[in-house]
Amino acid sequence: MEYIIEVENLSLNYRFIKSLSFKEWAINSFSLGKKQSKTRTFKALQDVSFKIEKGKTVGIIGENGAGKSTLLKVLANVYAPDEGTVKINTDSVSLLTLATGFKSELTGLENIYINGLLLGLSKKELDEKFEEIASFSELGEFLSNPVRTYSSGMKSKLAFSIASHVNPDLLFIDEVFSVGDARFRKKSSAKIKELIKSDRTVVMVSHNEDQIKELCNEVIWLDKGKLIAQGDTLDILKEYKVFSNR
Amino acid sequence: MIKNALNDFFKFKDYFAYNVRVNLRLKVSNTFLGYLWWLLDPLLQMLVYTIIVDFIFRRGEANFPVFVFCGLLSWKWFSSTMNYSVSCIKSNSGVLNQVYVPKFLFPLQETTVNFVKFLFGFIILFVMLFFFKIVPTIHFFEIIPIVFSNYLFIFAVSLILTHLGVFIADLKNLLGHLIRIWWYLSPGMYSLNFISEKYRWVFWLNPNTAFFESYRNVIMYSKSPHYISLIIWDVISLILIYVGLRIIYQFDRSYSKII
Repeated sequence: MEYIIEVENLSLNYRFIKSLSFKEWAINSFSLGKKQSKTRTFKALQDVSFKIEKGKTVGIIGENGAGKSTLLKVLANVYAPDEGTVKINTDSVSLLTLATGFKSELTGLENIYINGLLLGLSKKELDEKFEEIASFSELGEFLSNPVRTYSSGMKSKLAFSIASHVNPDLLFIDEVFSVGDARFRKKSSAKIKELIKSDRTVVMVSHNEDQIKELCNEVIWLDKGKLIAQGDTLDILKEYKVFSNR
Repeated sequence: MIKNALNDFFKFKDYFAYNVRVNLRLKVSNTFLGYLWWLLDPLLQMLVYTIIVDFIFRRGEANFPVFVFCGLLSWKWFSSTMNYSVSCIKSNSGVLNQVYVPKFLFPLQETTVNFVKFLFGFIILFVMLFFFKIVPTIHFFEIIPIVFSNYLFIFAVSLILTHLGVFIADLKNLLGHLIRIWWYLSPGMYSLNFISEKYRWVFWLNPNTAFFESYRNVIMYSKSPHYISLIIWDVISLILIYVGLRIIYQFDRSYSKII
């Protein structure tokens, strides 16, 4: 069996830098006991291990704050694991989120190029795909205005149009299924389905059970940073339902 | 590690080039005068110093506007890059939370953006040289090694600031003041002759002394740059770049985990 993702004993911490307060500093310096460290950590993922086969569509479920988005970011090579190993057996990876790094002073057009280049398209590919992305976004003349003038719906349309035109072998989707107005929602959810149904491997985070049932071969269930279960979609969803109604 | 950095640079070169181009436009795109600000910025700053030093204090060097401009161009390159670098990871966190970008690209990009503006400043410089009837000689071509050393040094400092800025949020506040005092301690508005000979060596510990004085030598005084100082600063810059790249690669994918 060919695995595209192999994760072993993965742990990841977020670090908060605390501002120095005089009182704390005084207590810390003059107390003889154990000194508090200047940083606080939050364990976002603890000892997570799993493997994903090539070509499968895998859903990640769990409550808010369970570490789902964090896990996707580790898999997409944005975060380095603090412990454990993550092996991704392909170079062509992309993460689809709506929390995009648009530069608000730049025009939509320029942002298409910047984001596209970052998501792994080459300048040449972008030149070819540009028309397609622009027309998919339905933004028309707005594309030559700075992004700061866009409404939030327009921003998400643009983000979706760019990200959905990158064709990676391994695609991560973070709760991006339908954006914009009713008409665009229909179009975008069709586009997502088209991306998923092809033979690429997809890992997606979603709170929509019907969607997971429809699209995923397999489900990973996270809770408070720990992996609770991995397995067949219907079985795990049933367990998860019992858990959330507790 | 060096190989890593080069590999990453080539992998992201399209992104880098596009970003430099777009960033050059960025700061002037919403202004009425647009690109003219690239020329107006250093010109107006030069006028401010000329008014203060030459007209009010009457202590200016000969051809003071040119004199101050030689230092000012390099200084603006340096200070703008420092200002950006100290917060560049935070200001790009949107992108950094979505895709992997080698972090050293940000200080490199800003060094390059400000380098281009530096080059544009020469348009004004040439006009001023004509106006003050200063004719550059063959020594002018010796400006190339100075610019090269200057580039290395600015990149080196901005690399280190990029790293420190993530952990020490206060650095941004402090840096504004540091930058200001650094300018006054550099021979930008005054000549080293102003300083008593006993203490002059202290000024040579400041890299900007080597840069400012060298620029003036080749532009105004038809002399060679201070090659020995420049080489010393090249070596220091290269060491700093090596150390900086090492640290930045070590923390490469951890910066964005820090909230």
